[in-house]
Amino acid sequence: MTERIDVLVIGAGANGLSCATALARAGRRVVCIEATDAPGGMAGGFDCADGFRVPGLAQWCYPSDHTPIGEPMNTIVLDPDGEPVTIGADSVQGVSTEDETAWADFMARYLAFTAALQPLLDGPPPRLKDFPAADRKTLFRLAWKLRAGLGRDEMYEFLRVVGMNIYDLLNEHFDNERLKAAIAIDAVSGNAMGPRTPGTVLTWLHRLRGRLNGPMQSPVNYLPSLLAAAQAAGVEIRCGVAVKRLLIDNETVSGAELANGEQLHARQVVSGIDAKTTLLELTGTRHLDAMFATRLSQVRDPGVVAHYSLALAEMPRIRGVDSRSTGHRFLITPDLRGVERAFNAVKYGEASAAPIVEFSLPSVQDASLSPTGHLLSANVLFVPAGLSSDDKSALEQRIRDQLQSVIPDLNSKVRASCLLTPDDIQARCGHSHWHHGELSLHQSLMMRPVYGAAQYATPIDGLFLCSAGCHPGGDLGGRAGANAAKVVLAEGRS
Amino acid sequence: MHTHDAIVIGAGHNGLTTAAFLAKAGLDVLVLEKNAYAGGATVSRELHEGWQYSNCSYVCSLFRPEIYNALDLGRHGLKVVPLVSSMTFKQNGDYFGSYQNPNIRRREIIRHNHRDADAAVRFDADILRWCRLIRGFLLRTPPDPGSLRPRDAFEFAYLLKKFYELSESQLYEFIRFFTMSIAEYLENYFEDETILAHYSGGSIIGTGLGVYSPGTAYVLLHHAMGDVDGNVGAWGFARGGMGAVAGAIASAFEEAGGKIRTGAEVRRIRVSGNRATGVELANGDVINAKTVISNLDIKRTFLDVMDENDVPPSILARARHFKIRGSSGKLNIALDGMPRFPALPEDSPLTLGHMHFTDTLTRLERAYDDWKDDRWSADPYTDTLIPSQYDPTLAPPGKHMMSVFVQYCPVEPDGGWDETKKQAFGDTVLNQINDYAPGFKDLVLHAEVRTPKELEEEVGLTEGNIFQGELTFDQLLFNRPFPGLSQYRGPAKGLYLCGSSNHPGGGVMGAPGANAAREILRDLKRPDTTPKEFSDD
Repeated sequence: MTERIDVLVIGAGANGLSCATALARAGRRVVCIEATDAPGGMAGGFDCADGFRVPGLAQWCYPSDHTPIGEPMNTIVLDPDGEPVTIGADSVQGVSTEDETAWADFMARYLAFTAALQPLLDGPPPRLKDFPAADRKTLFRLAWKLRAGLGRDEMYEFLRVVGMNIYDLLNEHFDNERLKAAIAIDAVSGNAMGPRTPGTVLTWLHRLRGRLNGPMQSPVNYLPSLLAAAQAAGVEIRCGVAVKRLLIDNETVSGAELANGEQLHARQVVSGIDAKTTLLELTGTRHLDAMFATRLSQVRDPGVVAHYSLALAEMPRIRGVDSRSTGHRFLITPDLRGVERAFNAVKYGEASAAPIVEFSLPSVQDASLSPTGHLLSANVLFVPAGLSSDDKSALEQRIRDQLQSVIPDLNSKVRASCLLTPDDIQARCGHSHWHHGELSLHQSLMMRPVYGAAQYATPIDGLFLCSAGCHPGGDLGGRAGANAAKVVLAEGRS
Repeated sequence: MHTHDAIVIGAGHNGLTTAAFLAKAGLDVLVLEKNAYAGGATVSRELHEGWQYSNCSYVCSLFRPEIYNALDLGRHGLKVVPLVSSMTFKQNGDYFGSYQNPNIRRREIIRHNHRDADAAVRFDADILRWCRLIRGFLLRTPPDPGSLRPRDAFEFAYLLKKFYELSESQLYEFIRFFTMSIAEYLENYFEDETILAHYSGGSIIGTGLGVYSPGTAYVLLHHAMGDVDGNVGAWGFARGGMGAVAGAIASAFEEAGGKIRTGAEVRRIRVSGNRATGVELANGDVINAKTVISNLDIKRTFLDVMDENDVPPSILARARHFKIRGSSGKLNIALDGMPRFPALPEDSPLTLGHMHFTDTLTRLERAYDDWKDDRWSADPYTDTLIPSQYDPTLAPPGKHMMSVFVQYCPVEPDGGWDETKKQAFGDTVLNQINDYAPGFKDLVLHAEVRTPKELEEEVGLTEGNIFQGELTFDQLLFNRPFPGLSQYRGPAKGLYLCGSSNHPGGGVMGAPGANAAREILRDLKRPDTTPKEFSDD
């Protein structure tokens, strides 16, 4: 006797859960299975040490469907020898008056550009030929928003900058190196790109999409509220259940065979894990067109960000930051060229000599994460996979040096530390890339993850993709999952 | 005082091309050139007695055959000799040769990796398809996306129609090609490291980008879409050096009644009541003209020879932000004899073509990292040629002329260029060649070392950028030089732009010059003398 499942969602990460919730809300019976013993994927928590729980890999998120607007989080770019630069939701401090004004104009302009791109960034990506009416509407809305919404001069400016790199753009507008570096980091982090990589203005606009919902905020409540929404909608989450292969009959999916040999049958299957694993491993290339399979195998998805956490006995003193501002996001980076240099190393499989450290103290937001002390959670750019244990300890020392330079009393407060390189993240979360694939131009929109599967449906009937590897990518927004749900529901009707 | 119909500022190949088409339409055209010789960056110069150096541009392949035919350049003495092979020396003493004969080329690829031989068939077909697609747009004026005029709508419709002749998947493949890095693009086809490095090189020539920078795959086209006698992708030497290209166009121009004045540097474009009225020379002379055409790059035109008050602020700002980066150097070398490359078999035809010494993508990318930090590449990528093997006019009998194009070389190393640094840069290149041709340095009779600084000072190209502006995807088509200014018209009436800062960009192509001439003749309601139809082979 097999149970009746309408939709089986594989992987309880941010996008898997978003998709499952939307489907359950539409009345589907949804089971979401997760290979590890707790839901969350990269948004899931883990213990840095006994009694010190890291709430997830991210240091920040933007408000989304399941996370209401919370306390705004500023970005504070620290300076070992001076005053920090503070980038808030509406203003920037610690820079010259010219830069203050330039920043306000700059943000207003680029938020308008992002808003104009919204038809493209939000929904399922349109096809470019033989398209359904809905795609024509999307393309028309986009053209209208660009031409009529922005006006001719701003449209010219948009066209001029949209293909540029963020390095040149920032140098056009600002003098302050830390301000420039901070914006550049937002444009590149998670991807194997440096500020001088062409296309990084677009990756930045892409990230700015979340900002339209509200200011940056702490991610500590993200997973709990997502899980609460899933539960309320009636999603059944089963953890510790790994998929061995998908059951495919006559190019139609009928369910999944689990690692323990059991079979789960469902009318539709949505995969929240990356497209390569879903199609090349769980489905198998014998079910796929050879060129399609080749394209998939060529998706570029190197993880280049490490996570570092510290269990601290008490609240550290951060240079230039008063004790009321410890709940913000901090960056350690000297200048724009330093970001590019940090990126150079990863091209050759080496970790940056002067890594860029982005950190926050999640225990300020949620004291229950570390009842006996405080917790420091950091993302470190750029770190490749395949580091030896010697490389790893050398890297840890460099990260500590960076942190020490802005937190002079750090060492005396550290009780334990935990460094997760991309290899460790891969082992824990199934993938090491923040977006399951570079957000480079040739892997964006209707080519994400590859054309032929960019509208969430795959060549296998009933099998869909919903991971961050799909348009529009990750960053705790759950949009890929929500978009996939729409496609799944539309398919189910016919 | 005499008022000319048109003045062209700068006697580069594009300026001369525009001038020739205007003169053929019956206009009285004067070309002003600051140097004592015409040609701009397409010149042959005797800098060492008995040797002719093509000391800037050095190969001729992109030059549009339609222009060649329309101006009858063959009769004016331009002869292009096809150059058909290329090769890369490996560090282990081996080499990879890309021969003209397809069967030999295939066997050579198989010698390195048998799967790559099949990949090469796919690769060649794909590149040819993109070449054919792009070539159709070269001799057309890009539509203005901000305009609602029927002409622009028609041009957009034409673009769309051309693209919609592709299938849906080809459409995506084209976007991928247009936005990918050359390294990633080639990795979709080839496996062998040397083959990857060999075919990547062309994509970084002249650009401030590395082989892993998105957008470089497209640049490959700028070096592959040329043709010599209908042979797509072929390269060629102009007999007598690159000066022969400018010489032939100048001859066609003068035959049609045009005049070239050398040693006449323009200090100012005169504008009155939003209308260009002529130019003022460095010596104070004023020359009047109804139309003024600038062959100078966009920065030099708007920020240098024009009065700030004559240019709208938005255009000034965009001109300041136009990306034009010097990234290349060059060595022109007089050799006492033919160098010997022990890696090659005796009498190998491969010395007749392009020679490279960079056999991995990592070496190419590291060379780029040096440039980003304002150093010349310690292990540079070079495009080395010995054209005197074909052309006895370039060097005395038994002697040879070598042209070495070097990627990358900074606009300004730390502390600026001086003689010591220039020599050190030159030595880096000579030593690299000497590693593969022992005794090479003893053959060197004279070497002219050129950094972006020399290119800027002599030819006037800002920062020494060989394309008059980066060929990145943000500066192509209607974005070249920037949106709203892509139709060869300057901000004042009677002012035009014809350099390769304009669509379709650099390389000795002549297309910007011909396109500018077409727009000018259209505004003047004169018969169009420019080639109308794209001649596909």
